[in-house]
Amino acid sequence: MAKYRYLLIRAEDPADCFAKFLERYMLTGFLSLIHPPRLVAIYDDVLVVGIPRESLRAARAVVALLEGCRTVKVRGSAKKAKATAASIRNKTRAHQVHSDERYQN
Amino acid sequence: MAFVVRRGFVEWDLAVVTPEVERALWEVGVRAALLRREAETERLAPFVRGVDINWAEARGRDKFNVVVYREEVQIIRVNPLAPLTHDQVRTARRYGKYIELPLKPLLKDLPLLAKWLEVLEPEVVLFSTPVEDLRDVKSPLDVAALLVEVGRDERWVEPIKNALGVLTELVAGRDG
Repeated sequence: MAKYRYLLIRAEDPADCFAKFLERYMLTGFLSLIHPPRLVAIYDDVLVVGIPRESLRAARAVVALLEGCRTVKVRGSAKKAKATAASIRNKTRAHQVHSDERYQN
Repeated sequence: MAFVVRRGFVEWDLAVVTPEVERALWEVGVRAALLRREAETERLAPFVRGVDINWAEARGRDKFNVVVYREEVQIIRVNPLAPLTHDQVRTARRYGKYIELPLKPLLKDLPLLAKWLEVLEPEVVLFSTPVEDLRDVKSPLDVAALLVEVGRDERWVEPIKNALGVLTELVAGRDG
């Protein structure tokens, strides 16, 4: 089993950021064919994606090429990454959902 | 200077200061910034071009050859589309000047970035990006990873990691 590291990437549009990341993921080398990236979660504006530890530098280089995306933290397990993402996410969008619900009620 | 910064990175070209941009820069580890003009900052230690740091812009190679010999100049901002020669970089090193290379256009033209990395030396270069809004904020470590991957040399992480030291040195040099 390859060891994974988890990138927490902040982006305006995390889904789009992940799509662009996938497009360029092959740049990280041959390992990319053996160990695909793991999409762990998207928390509002934070994308959590797992990549093999060996590809960490190349994966960060790929993020540097993506407009509007930046790595804000790196974690060693999916669980920790999710906990951190939950604590640093920008909840603006979640607030909007709540207020909509209240409006409907 | 009232600010004391021990760890962190430098954003070399903060064009617009807003609380959102500052927060985003702080989050990726930036602790000091070089501003284009005087502005109030909440978190980042501000340094101003022309006030705290002497700089000159060299749009072409000829202009570079003129400013590199000027004693008061500390940083020479170069045109990213016109790579310098090995000799010019060596001259900058000999005269103690730093070369500021704007990174933004080069992120879309990696062959050109590779060409720059071939002629530059990690000790004399400062990578800058004009931060005009949130989308321009990059993680310094992401950029360092890209430089190492494109330049195929581990030393390319140094200009990013040592930038705070260089900034301190330049400001101190100015005072002295």
